[in-house]
Amino acid sequence: MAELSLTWSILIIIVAILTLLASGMLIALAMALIGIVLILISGGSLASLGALGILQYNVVGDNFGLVSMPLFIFMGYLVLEVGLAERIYDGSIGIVGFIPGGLLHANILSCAIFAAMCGSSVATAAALGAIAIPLEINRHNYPVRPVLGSVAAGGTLGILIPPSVTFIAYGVFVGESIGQLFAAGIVPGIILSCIFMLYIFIAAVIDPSTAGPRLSFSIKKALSGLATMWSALLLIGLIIASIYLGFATPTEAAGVGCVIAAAIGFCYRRLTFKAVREAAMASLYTTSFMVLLIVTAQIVSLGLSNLEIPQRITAAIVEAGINKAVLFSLIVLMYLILGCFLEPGSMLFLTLPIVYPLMTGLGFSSVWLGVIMVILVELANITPPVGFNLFVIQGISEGRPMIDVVVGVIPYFFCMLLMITLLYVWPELATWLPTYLFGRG
Amino acid sequence: MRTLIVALSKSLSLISQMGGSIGAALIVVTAVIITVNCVARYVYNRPMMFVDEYSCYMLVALVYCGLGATLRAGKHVYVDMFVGKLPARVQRAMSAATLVLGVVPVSIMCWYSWKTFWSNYTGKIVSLTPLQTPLWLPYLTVAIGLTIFLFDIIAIAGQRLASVPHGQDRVALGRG
Repeated sequence: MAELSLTWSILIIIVAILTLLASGMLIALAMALIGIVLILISGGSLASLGALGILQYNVVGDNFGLVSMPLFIFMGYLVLEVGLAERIYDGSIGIVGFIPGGLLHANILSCAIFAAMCGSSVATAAALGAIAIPLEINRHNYPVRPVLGSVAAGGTLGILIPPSVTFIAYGVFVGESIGQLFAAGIVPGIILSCIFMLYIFIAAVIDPSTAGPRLSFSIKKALSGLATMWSALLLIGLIIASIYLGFATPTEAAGVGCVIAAAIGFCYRRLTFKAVREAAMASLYTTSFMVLLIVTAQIVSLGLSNLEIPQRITAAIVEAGINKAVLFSLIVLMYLILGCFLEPGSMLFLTLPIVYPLMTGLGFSSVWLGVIMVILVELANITPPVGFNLFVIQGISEGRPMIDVVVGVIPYFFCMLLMITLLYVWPELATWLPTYLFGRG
Repeated sequence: MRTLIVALSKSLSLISQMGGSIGAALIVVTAVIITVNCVARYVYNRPMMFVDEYSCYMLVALVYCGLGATLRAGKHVYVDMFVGKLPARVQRAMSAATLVLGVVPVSIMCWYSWKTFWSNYTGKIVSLTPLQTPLWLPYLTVAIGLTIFLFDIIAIAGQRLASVPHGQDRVALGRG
């Protein structure tokens, strides 16, 4: 293959991957197979596979930061099991329910707050959707599509606002600091939440039928809202403060967060052995499948770099003089298309071995790219036919058709594209905070 | 033959579930020892040296020992857009065929995990930390976990091929 032209090499790899994926092979196994074949081709003998034994251990065992992944997932499930989502939603209603758009704002705010305790987009959408959807549609007579859309899109904030499983996985894969990636997600996460709420506000002002009745405002309600979710705010405050005041690493913050979440559950009398067991098992499943993807993506990456394919692609693009903005747009377009067909995590790890060296080789910041990747993963979560958040929301929407969720989420899709554009024009939105906190963005 | 496959499959399923339970317990243990370490460091100014290192070993163990349980719980992902449109029998055959194909990379990963374990064991290699933990221990968890995963893949592929009724494994193999 070393003698093959770059175009043919890439074409063969893409066709092989697509064929294996289309055949229904487990994505991690397909990636492992492709990676092993690439290593064999580049090394020319079985001996070239010798690095596998060390690689599959080192990717996991040599990375204390990766320990935070199961712990943050576990914390998210614990928070879910002990009923903090209800408190966050009730509290959010008191704080933003008076703005035109009413309870739709509460969906976004509660998702954003829940996201700060849960690193999963699907879990965020499921937790808040289960509470908000029946209440808003059945009791407050809100129109169905805006409610479903706002919860499906709000759920995606789960992986942008730290802690985020996707940031951890990306950080481990590319060797970037997880603390910096978390910091990089905060400002874009807040801005994206504001963009969502701004859209809801404008839509409600232009056409009040897109939302339901708004609630009256009172300081007492707002304060009572904050009081309702004090435990959630305490947990979030402790996690963020401990990481960024230098008291704890993200992994330590995750461990302590799990214990605090359990303690809160104990105080609310919601902590049971069954709840802990289910949370731990669910965390194990997510961790095992995500880490296997990371390991197999590293095998693909090793094969590709042995064949110098990423380097050759970067050199070819530099030589062709392709405009960076055009290239970036093409990459975004590629992810939008892939996101329609692939599970988001798999999409990320299938493409990172090529995209990461290419983009960083062209001078894009690794931390900034992490934020862009996370938003693209978010988009994949809400694009049909394979958008996990869409399935989750439809599943808890009491039999509403998928089209209601899809149509409801369309405006938020464009809000996210706007966020990507803002980040391209002003990369500082992502890099400022990590630079301020750590001295590098 | 069918009885033998069912018996073997049940035994493997039990081993995978045990791996899953151990993995889940390790998550809880990791959270607890990390918290205790934070308290020990900030309250008593006596950090526990082993926590960071052993957390990583526990992560290795929980990830690899959990692979089989994750497979049986149907939590690994695959694309079902095209396969899902085929008749049920063809879907089953495709599932078996892709699993058989998947045996190839997992066998290779498994072989090299045992090889690396053995070289660490015979070479008496220890970690470069004050604890000097024998590294064959964490490498052994990788090898055992991948072996369970490999046998789970073979068992499920066998079930699909033989169309054996297989209890909870009748659920979809992964998330499409």
